[in-house]
Amino acid sequence: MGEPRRAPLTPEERAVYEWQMWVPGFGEAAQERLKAASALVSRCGGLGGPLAQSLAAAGIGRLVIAHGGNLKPGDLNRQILQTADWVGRPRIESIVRRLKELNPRVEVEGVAENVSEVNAAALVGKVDLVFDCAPLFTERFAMNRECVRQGKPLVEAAIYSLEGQVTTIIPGKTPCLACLYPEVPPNWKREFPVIGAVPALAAAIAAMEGIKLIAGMPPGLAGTLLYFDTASMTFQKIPIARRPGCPVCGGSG
Amino acid sequence: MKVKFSYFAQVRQAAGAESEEVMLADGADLAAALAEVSARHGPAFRTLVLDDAGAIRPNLMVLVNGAPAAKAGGRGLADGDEVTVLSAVSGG
Repeated sequence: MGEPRRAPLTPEERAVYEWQMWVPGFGEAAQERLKAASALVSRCGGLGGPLAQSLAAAGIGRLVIAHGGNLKPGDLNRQILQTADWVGRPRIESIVRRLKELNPRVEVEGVAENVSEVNAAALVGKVDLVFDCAPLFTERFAMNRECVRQGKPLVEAAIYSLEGQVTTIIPGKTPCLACLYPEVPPNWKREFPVIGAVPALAAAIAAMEGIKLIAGMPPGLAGTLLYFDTASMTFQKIPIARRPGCPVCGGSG
Repeated sequence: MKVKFSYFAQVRQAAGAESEEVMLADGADLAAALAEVSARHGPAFRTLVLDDAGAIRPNLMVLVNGAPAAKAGGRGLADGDEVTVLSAVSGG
Protein backbone atom coordinates (compact mmCIF):
# COMPACT_ATOMS: atom_id res chain seq x y z
CA MET A 1 0.00 0.00 0.00
CA GLY A 2 3.04 2.28 -0.19
CA GLU A 3 3.88 4.90 2.40
CA PRO A 4 0.87 5.12 4.69
CA ARG A 5 -1.00 8.41 4.47
CA ARG A 6 -2.44 9.99 7.56
CA ALA A 7 -5.28 12.46 8.00
CA PRO A 8 -5.39 14.48 11.25
CA LEU A 9 -8.39 13.88 13.50
CA THR A 10 -10.76 16.58 14.65
CA PRO A 11 -11.62 16.80 18.38
CA GLU A 12 -15.05 15.37 17.54
CA GLU A 13 -13.46 12.38 15.76
CA ARG A 14 -11.15 11.81 18.72
CA ALA A 15 -14.22 11.54 20.92
CA VAL A 16 -15.97 9.13 18.54
CA TYR A 17 -13.00 6.79 18.04
CA GLU A 18 -11.55 7.09 21.55
CA TRP A 19 -12.35 3.53 22.61
CA GLN A 20 -10.64 1.88 19.65
CA MET A 21 -7.62 4.13 19.97
CA TRP A 22 -7.12 2.49 23.39
CA VAL A 23 -6.33 -0.78 21.59
CA PRO A 24 -2.61 -1.53 22.08
CA GLY A 25 -0.72 -1.04 18.84
CA PHE A 26 -3.52 1.02 17.32
CA GLY A 27 -3.72 4.47 18.84
CA GLU A 28 -4.23 7.83 17.14
CA ALA A 29 -1.66 7.15 14.41
CA ALA A 30 -3.60 4.13 13.18
CA GLN A 31 -6.85 6.08 13.37
CA GLU A 32 -5.31 8.77 11.19
CA ARG A 33 -4.25 6.12 8.68
CA LEU A 34 -7.77 4.71 8.68
CA LYS A 35 -9.21 8.16 8.03
CA ALA A 36 -6.86 8.62 5.08
CA ALA A 37 -7.63 5.18 3.61
CA SER A 38 -10.14 3.96 1.06
CA ALA A 39 -11.58 0.51 0.42
CA LEU A 40 -13.75 -1.19 -2.17
CA VAL A 41 -16.36 -3.69 -1.02
CA SER A 42 -17.45 -5.92 -3.88
CA ARG A 43 -21.06 -6.85 -3.18
CA CYS A 44 -22.58 -5.63 0.01
CA GLY A 45 -24.97 -8.40 1.01
CA GLY A 46 -24.64 -10.94 3.81
CA LEU A 47 -20.86 -10.63 3.85
CA GLY A 48 -20.18 -7.18 2.48
CA GLY A 49 -22.96 -5.53 4.50
CA PRO A 50 -21.63 -6.22 7.99
CA LEU A 51 -18.10 -5.78 6.67
CA ALA A 52 -18.83 -2.30 5.31
CA GLN A 53 -20.64 -1.52 8.54
CA SER A 54 -17.54 -2.44 10.57
CA LEU A 55 -15.29 -0.35 8.35
CA ALA A 56 -17.63 2.63 8.51
CA ALA A 57 -18.01 2.41 12.28
CA ALA A 58 -14.23 2.17 12.66
CA GLY A 59 -13.82 5.41 10.72
CA ILE A 60 -12.36 4.48 7.36
CA GLY A 61 -12.12 7.60 5.21
CA ARG A 62 -13.82 6.45 2.02
CA LEU A 63 -15.81 3.41 0.98
CA VAL A 64 -16.64 2.42 -2.58
CA ILE A 65 -19.45 -0.11 -2.61
CA ALA A 66 -20.31 -2.10 -5.76
CA HIS A 67 -23.63 -3.86 -5.62
CA GLY A 68 -26.29 -4.09 -8.32
CA GLY A 69 -29.93 -5.10 -8.38
CA ASN A 70 -33.07 -4.53 -6.40
CA LEU A 71 -33.82 -5.94 -2.96
CA LYS A 72 -35.65 -9.30 -2.84
CA PRO A 73 -37.42 -10.81 0.17
CA GLY A 74 -34.88 -13.66 0.19
CA ASP A 75 -32.05 -11.15 0.84
CA LEU A 76 -33.39 -10.04 4.19
CA ASN A 77 -32.14 -12.96 6.32
CA ARG A 78 -28.55 -11.74 5.94
CA GLN A 79 -28.29 -8.39 4.15
CA ILE A 80 -28.39 -6.27 7.28
CA LEU A 81 -27.97 -2.92 5.52
CA GLN A 82 -31.38 -3.47 3.90
CA THR A 83 -34.79 -2.89 5.43
CA ALA A 84 -38.09 -4.72 4.99
CA ASP A 85 -39.77 -1.68 3.45
CA TRP A 86 -37.14 -1.49 0.69
CA VAL A 87 -38.10 -4.66 -1.23
CA GLY A 88 -38.12 -4.01 -4.98
CA ARG A 89 -35.87 -0.95 -4.73
CA PRO A 90 -32.14 -0.59 -5.48
CA ARG A 91 -30.03 -2.27 -2.82
CA ILE A 92 -27.22 0.25 -3.24
CA GLU A 93 -29.42 3.16 -2.14
CA SER A 94 -30.22 1.50 1.17
CA ILE A 95 -26.57 0.53 1.64
CA VAL A 96 -25.27 4.08 1.16
CA ARG A 97 -28.01 5.62 3.25
CA ARG A 98 -27.52 3.30 6.20
CA LEU A 99 -23.74 3.54 6.19
CA LYS A 100 -24.02 7.33 6.21
CA GLU A 101 -26.52 7.14 9.07
CA LEU A 102 -24.05 5.02 11.03
CA ASN A 103 -21.09 7.28 10.37
CA PRO A 104 -21.64 10.51 8.43
CA ARG A 105 -17.90 11.26 8.56
CA VAL A 106 -17.24 8.45 6.05
CA GLU A 107 -17.41 9.24 2.35
CA VAL A 108 -19.48 6.51 0.69
CA GLU A 109 -19.60 6.07 -3.07
CA GLY A 110 -22.29 3.67 -4.22
CA VAL A 111 -21.88 1.92 -7.57
CA ALA A 112 -25.10 0.26 -8.70
CA GLU A 113 -23.41 -2.59 -10.51
CA ASN A 114 -21.53 -5.73 -9.63
CA VAL A 115 -17.85 -6.18 -10.37
CA SER A 116 -17.06 -7.49 -13.84
CA GLU A 117 -14.18 -7.72 -16.29
CA VAL A 118 -15.39 -4.38 -17.65
CA ASN A 119 -15.39 -2.29 -14.46
CA ALA A 120 -12.87 -4.10 -12.21
CA ALA A 121 -9.86 -2.01 -13.25
CA ALA A 122 -11.57 1.32 -12.64
CA LEU A 123 -13.08 0.22 -9.31
CA VAL A 124 -9.83 -1.19 -7.94
CA GLY A 125 -8.03 1.95 -9.15
CA LYS A 126 -10.17 4.12 -6.86
CA VAL A 127 -9.04 2.55 -3.57
CA ASP A 128 -6.15 1.36 -1.41
CA LEU A 129 -7.61 -2.01 -0.41
CA VAL A 130 -10.30 -4.39 -1.66
CA PHE A 131 -12.72 -6.70 0.11
CA ASP A 132 -14.14 -9.45 -2.06
CA CYS A 133 -17.56 -10.62 -0.94
CA ALA A 134 -19.09 -11.63 -4.29
CA PRO A 135 -21.22 -14.75 -4.75
CA LEU A 136 -19.93 -15.55 -8.24
CA PHE A 137 -16.48 -16.95 -8.95
CA THR A 138 -16.35 -14.93 -12.18
CA GLU A 139 -16.59 -11.70 -10.15
CA ARG A 140 -13.98 -12.92 -7.70
CA PHE A 141 -11.58 -13.96 -10.43
CA ALA A 142 -11.94 -10.58 -12.17
CA MET A 143 -11.25 -8.77 -8.90
CA ASN A 144 -8.26 -11.00 -8.12
CA ARG A 145 -6.70 -10.39 -11.52
CA GLU A 146 -7.08 -6.65 -11.18
CA CYS A 147 -5.76 -6.49 -7.62
CA VAL A 148 -2.71 -8.50 -8.63
CA ARG A 149 -2.17 -6.24 -11.67
CA GLN A 150 -2.47 -3.05 -9.61
CA GLY A 151 -0.67 -4.46 -6.55
CA LYS A 152 -3.59 -3.80 -4.21
CA PRO A 153 -4.21 -6.00 -1.14
CA LEU A 154 -7.33 -8.12 -1.37
CA VAL A 155 -9.17 -9.69 1.55
CA GLU A 156 -11.18 -12.68 0.36
CA ALA A 157 -14.15 -13.82 2.45
CA ALA A 158 -16.58 -16.52 1.42
CA ILE A 159 -19.17 -18.78 3.00
CA TYR A 160 -21.26 -21.80 2.25
CA SER A 161 -23.99 -23.00 4.59
CA LEU A 162 -22.51 -23.05 8.10
CA GLU A 163 -18.91 -22.71 6.92
CA GLY A 164 -16.63 -19.87 5.97
CA GLN A 165 -13.19 -19.10 4.59
CA VAL A 166 -11.08 -15.94 4.81
CA THR A 167 -7.63 -15.17 3.46
CA THR A 168 -5.58 -12.03 2.84
CA ILE A 169 -3.89 -11.68 -0.53
CA ILE A 170 -0.83 -9.45 -0.79
CA PRO A 171 0.13 -9.39 -4.48
CA GLY A 172 3.68 -10.59 -5.05
CA LYS A 173 3.96 -12.04 -1.57
CA THR A 174 1.11 -14.44 -0.94
CA PRO A 175 -0.85 -16.86 -3.11
CA CYS A 176 -3.55 -15.14 -5.14
CA LEU A 177 -7.08 -16.46 -5.53
CA ALA A 178 -6.16 -18.21 -8.78
CA CYS A 179 -3.34 -20.04 -6.98
CA LEU A 180 -5.90 -21.32 -4.53
CA TYR A 181 -8.78 -21.89 -6.94
CA PRO A 182 -7.67 -22.06 -10.58
CA GLU A 183 -11.11 -22.93 -11.90
CA VAL A 184 -14.77 -22.57 -11.05
CA PRO A 185 -15.86 -25.65 -9.08
CA PRO A 186 -18.05 -27.99 -11.11
CA ASN A 187 -21.80 -27.67 -10.64
CA TRP A 188 -21.44 -24.39 -8.75
CA LYS A 189 -24.84 -22.79 -8.16
CA ARG A 190 -25.56 -19.09 -7.86
CA GLU A 191 -27.76 -19.62 -4.81
CA PHE A 192 -26.35 -21.09 -1.63
CA PRO A 193 -27.59 -22.15 1.80
CA VAL A 194 -26.90 -19.48 4.43
CA ILE A 195 -27.87 -18.28 7.90
CA GLY A 196 -26.96 -14.60 8.21
CA ALA A 197 -24.74 -14.93 11.26
CA VAL A 198 -22.26 -17.05 9.28
CA PRO A 199 -21.35 -14.40 6.67
CA ALA A 200 -21.43 -11.81 9.48
CA LEU A 201 -18.74 -13.84 11.26
CA ALA A 202 -16.61 -14.08 8.12
CA ALA A 203 -17.17 -10.36 7.58
CA ALA A 204 -15.93 -9.46 11.05
CA ILE A 205 -12.75 -11.48 10.50
CA ALA A 206 -12.20 -9.93 7.07
CA ALA A 207 -12.82 -6.42 8.40
CA MET A 208 -10.18 -6.90 11.07
CA GLU A 209 -7.68 -8.10 8.48
CA GLY A 210 -8.28 -4.95 6.47
CA ILE A 211 -8.23 -2.61 9.44
CA LYS A 212 -4.93 -4.10 10.57
CA LEU A 213 -3.44 -3.75 7.09
CA ILE A 214 -4.40 -0.08 7.00
CA ALA A 215 -3.20 0.49 10.55
CA GLY A 216 0.18 -1.06 9.82
CA MET A 217 -0.44 -4.04 12.07
CA PRO A 218 0.52 -7.44 10.62
CA PRO A 219 -2.36 -9.38 9.05
CA GLY A 220 -3.03 -12.81 10.48
CA LEU A 221 -4.17 -14.45 7.27
CA ALA A 222 -1.55 -13.54 4.66
CA GLY A 223 -0.58 -16.84 3.06
CA THR A 224 -3.05 -18.57 5.33
CA LEU A 225 -6.64 -19.65 4.81
CA LEU A 226 -8.81 -19.45 7.89
CA TYR A 227 -11.49 -22.07 7.64
CA PHE A 228 -14.36 -22.22 10.11
CA ASP A 229 -17.34 -24.46 10.61
CA THR A 230 -20.04 -23.09 12.90
CA ALA A 231 -21.67 -26.53 13.13
CA SER A 232 -18.82 -27.79 15.29
CA MET A 233 -17.34 -24.33 16.01
CA THR A 234 -14.08 -25.50 14.48
CA PHE A 235 -11.59 -22.81 13.43
CA GLN A 236 -8.51 -23.91 11.51
CA LYS A 237 -5.68 -21.96 9.92
CA ILE A 238 -4.36 -23.70 6.81
CA PRO A 239 -1.06 -22.61 5.23
CA ILE A 240 -1.48 -22.03 1.49
CA ALA A 241 1.21 -21.88 -1.17
CA ARG A 242 1.63 -20.02 -4.44
CA ARG A 243 0.94 -22.16 -7.48
CA PRO A 244 3.96 -22.40 -9.76
CA GLY A 245 3.06 -21.00 -13.16
CA CYS A 246 -0.13 -19.35 -11.89
CA PRO A 247 -1.47 -17.48 -14.94
CA VAL A 248 -2.52 -14.51 -12.78
CA CYS A 249 0.35 -13.89 -10.35
CA GLY A 250 3.10 -16.05 -11.81
CA GLY A 251 3.23 -18.11 -8.65
CA SER A 252 6.66 -16.92 -7.57
CA GLY A 253 8.60 -13.86 -6.48
CA MET B 1 -6.11 -49.70 6.61
CA LYS B 2 -8.68 -47.38 8.13
CA VAL B 3 -8.71 -43.69 7.08
CA LYS B 4 -11.01 -40.98 8.39
CA PHE B 5 -12.42 -38.51 5.87
CA SER B 6 -13.92 -35.15 6.82
CA TYR B 7 -15.87 -33.14 4.26
CA PHE B 8 -16.72 -29.47 4.02
CA ALA B 9 -18.99 -27.22 1.96
CA GLN B 10 -20.32 -28.70 -1.27
CA VAL B 11 -18.39 -31.93 -0.78
CA ARG B 12 -20.09 -32.41 2.57
CA GLN B 13 -23.46 -31.86 0.98
CA ALA B 14 -22.70 -34.38 -1.78
CA ALA B 15 -21.44 -36.95 0.72
CA GLY B 16 -24.41 -36.46 3.00
CA ALA B 17 -22.06 -36.73 5.97
CA GLU B 18 -19.56 -34.55 7.83
CA SER B 19 -17.12 -37.41 8.22
CA GLU B 20 -16.72 -41.15 7.84
CA GLU B 21 -14.17 -43.89 8.32
CA VAL B 22 -13.30 -45.91 5.25
CA MET B 23 -11.34 -49.13 4.86
CA LEU B 24 -8.83 -48.79 2.01
CA ALA B 25 -6.14 -50.92 0.43
CA ASP B 26 -2.82 -50.42 2.20
CA GLY B 27 -0.74 -47.66 0.64
CA ALA B 28 -3.54 -46.17 -1.46
CA ASP B 29 -2.66 -42.64 -2.58
CA LEU B 30 -5.04 -39.70 -2.26
CA ALA B 31 -6.51 -39.95 -5.75
CA ALA B 32 -7.15 -43.66 -5.36
CA ALA B 33 -8.66 -43.07 -1.94
CA LEU B 34 -11.01 -40.39 -3.27
CA ALA B 35 -12.00 -42.67 -6.16
CA GLU B 36 -12.86 -45.34 -3.62
CA VAL B 37 -14.88 -42.90 -1.56
CA SER B 38 -16.57 -41.58 -4.71
CA ALA B 39 -17.81 -45.08 -5.47
CA ARG B 40 -19.71 -44.95 -2.17
CA HIS B 41 -21.25 -41.53 -2.71
CA GLY B 42 -22.02 -41.46 -6.42
CA PRO B 43 -21.37 -39.26 -9.45
CA ALA B 44 -22.24 -35.88 -7.88
CA PHE B 45 -19.54 -36.42 -5.25
CA ARG B 46 -17.07 -37.78 -7.78
CA THR B 47 -17.53 -34.78 -10.08
CA LEU B 48 -16.67 -32.44 -7.22
CA VAL B 49 -13.45 -34.20 -6.24
CA LEU B 50 -12.04 -35.83 -9.39
CA ASP B 51 -11.79 -34.80 -13.01
CA ASP B 52 -12.59 -37.07 -15.96
CA ALA B 53 -9.07 -38.48 -15.89
CA GLY B 54 -9.34 -39.38 -12.22
CA ALA B 55 -7.03 -36.61 -11.00
CA ILE B 56 -7.94 -34.57 -7.92
CA ARG B 57 -9.53 -31.29 -8.97
CA PRO B 58 -7.23 -28.27 -8.63
CA ASN B 59 -9.80 -26.20 -6.75
CA LEU B 60 -10.05 -28.79 -4.02
CA MET B 61 -7.98 -28.36 -0.89
CA VAL B 62 -6.93 -31.65 0.66
CA LEU B 63 -5.26 -31.96 4.05
CA VAL B 64 -3.74 -35.09 5.53
CA ASN B 65 -3.53 -34.97 9.30
CA GLY B 66 -4.16 -31.22 9.17
CA ALA B 67 -1.40 -30.35 6.69
CA PRO B 68 -1.90 -29.51 2.99
CA ALA B 69 -1.17 -32.57 0.90
CA ALA B 70 0.17 -32.94 -2.63
CA LYS B 71 -2.68 -33.97 -4.89
CA ALA B 72 -0.43 -36.06 -7.11
CA GLY B 73 2.80 -37.87 -6.44
CA GLY B 74 2.43 -37.64 -2.68
CA ARG B 75 3.02 -40.46 -0.25
CA GLY B 76 0.49 -43.20 0.19
CA LEU B 77 -1.95 -42.93 3.05
CA ALA B 78 -1.36 -44.83 6.26
CA ASP B 79 -3.64 -46.51 8.75
CA GLY B 80 -5.18 -43.92 11.05
CA ASP B 81 -4.64 -40.97 8.72
CA GLU B 82 -7.23 -38.21 8.69
CA VAL B 83 -8.06 -36.69 5.32
CA THR B 84 -9.87 -33.34 5.13
CA VAL B 85 -11.51 -32.32 1.86
CA LEU B 86 -12.44 -28.64 1.40
CA SER B 87 -14.05 -27.25 -1.72
CA ALA B 88 -13.93 -23.67 -2.95
CA VAL B 89 -16.80 -21.48 -1.79
CA SER B 90 -17.89 -18.05 -2.90
CA GLY B 91 -21.14 -17.31 -1.14
CA GLY B 92 -21.74 -14.03 0.48
